[in-house]
Amino acid sequence: MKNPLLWLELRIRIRERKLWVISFLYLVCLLGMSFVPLVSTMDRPYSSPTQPADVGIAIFATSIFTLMALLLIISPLSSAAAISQEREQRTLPGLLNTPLSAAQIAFGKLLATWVFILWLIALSCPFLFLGMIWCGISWWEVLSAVGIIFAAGMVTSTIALGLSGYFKRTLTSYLGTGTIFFLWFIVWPIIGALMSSLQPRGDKAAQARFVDFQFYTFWAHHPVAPLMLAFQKELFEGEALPFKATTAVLFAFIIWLVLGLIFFVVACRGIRRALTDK
Amino acid sequence: MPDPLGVYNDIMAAEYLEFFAMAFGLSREVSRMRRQLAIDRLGLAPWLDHEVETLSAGWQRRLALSRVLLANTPIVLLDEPAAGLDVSARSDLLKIVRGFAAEGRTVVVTSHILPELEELADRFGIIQKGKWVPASKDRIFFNRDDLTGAFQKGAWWLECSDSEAARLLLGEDKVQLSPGSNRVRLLAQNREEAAEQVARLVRAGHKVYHFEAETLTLAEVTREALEPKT
Repeated sequence: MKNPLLWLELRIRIRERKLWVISFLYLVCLLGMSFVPLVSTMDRPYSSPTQPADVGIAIFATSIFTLMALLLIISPLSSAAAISQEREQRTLPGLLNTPLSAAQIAFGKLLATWVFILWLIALSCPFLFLGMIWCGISWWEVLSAVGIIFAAGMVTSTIALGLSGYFKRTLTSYLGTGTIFFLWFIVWPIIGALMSSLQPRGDKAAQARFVDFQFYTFWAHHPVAPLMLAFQKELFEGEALPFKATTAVLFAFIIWLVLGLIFFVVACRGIRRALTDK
Repeated sequence: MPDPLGVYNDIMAAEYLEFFAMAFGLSREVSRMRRQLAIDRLGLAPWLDHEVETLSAGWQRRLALSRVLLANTPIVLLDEPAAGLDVSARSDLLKIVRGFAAEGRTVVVTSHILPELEELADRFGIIQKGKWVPASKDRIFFNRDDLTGAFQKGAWWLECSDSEAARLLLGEDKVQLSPGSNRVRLLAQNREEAAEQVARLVRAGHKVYHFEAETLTLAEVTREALEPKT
């Protein structure tokens, strides 16, 4: 293993009881949520019997959104203390006395979080494959969903790592991370929705431009947006959203990449700052 | 090695060594050799499969010092290496630090425990608020010999058969009595003058049993250097 921090983090995490408790609760959540579509799709009159594909799609859609929601909580939490804890334990100066650079240290910590996210995604594979077994979903759709969810997990954990480098204390790092994500995931889309009242009337071209602006500014970069766009056919039963899915998903990925890079640099600066902290 | 130590608490001592060997980018063979060297030199063998958290402060410090052997650094910086250790752990640790110096490494120690430093170091320097403070007019660094030589304030201790008679013979301005003993403090410009005074005592028929230059401690030199100059 090339990165010693990855080696160390994995050793520590595997030994922690927390890992197994989180994994268990996560599976229980997914299992519980998978029953909801199963029950709701079964409860149909004899005149229009439930098709296996409908059940597959329903289970798949519930699973990916539950998985995304859980990962949006777990992945930032798993890296929100990564640097601040090292700073509190005063272990960073020792690390910086080795030939390891701040970027290698931050990347090792990120890799460990990403491995943890992959582990959680791997745990949820049986639920995702249920969609394939019931014939409603192709393996390609499963792969794209997993890819989008993993990318969202990667970016949220990178942002949390950056914040843990920025804040000195673990508690403030957790609070800061929670606040930033609450603003991004909840408050910002609500502000976007409230802006609908400002939509120009009459001119259709101006209206379309406004909707585009509203969508790309307040919603397209939301971690759930690419999933909704990629699976709009399955989710909205043919009524596609008025946006080009590929463009919007690409836009989201570019924004995530930029955010990831910015917060990675913040994390590296936070690590270097440990040498001058009093 | 900083103070506080900052060791990873939730890994085994063996993993700590392995992790830092990896962090220093050692090849597998060199890593194995140096880890073994550190284990042997620091006596870590009984603690390898113990969590770092469960080790005593002394053993945690030894473990932290293993980084020096793993990295094989020519210069070692130690900040308060023996702070918070009991007498025996402190003595063991100082032996290890002396061992580093004996191997040819330059060891720089910062400490507030001056008697410990006096015992340990060859050269001294005083730092206050991040700046060097000269111990004498033109000297920033000084060595142990300077405590008896260059910084000597012109005083010698001697033990003679009759201290009162010595005071009368040599003059009250030259001799200070030490109550309850035959030791007197002899003041002189330099050691030649001090020797001459002793010779006068002997010529006058007094017996001189012991004669030595008054030694300043590191704490005294430091206190004097840090005193505000008027």
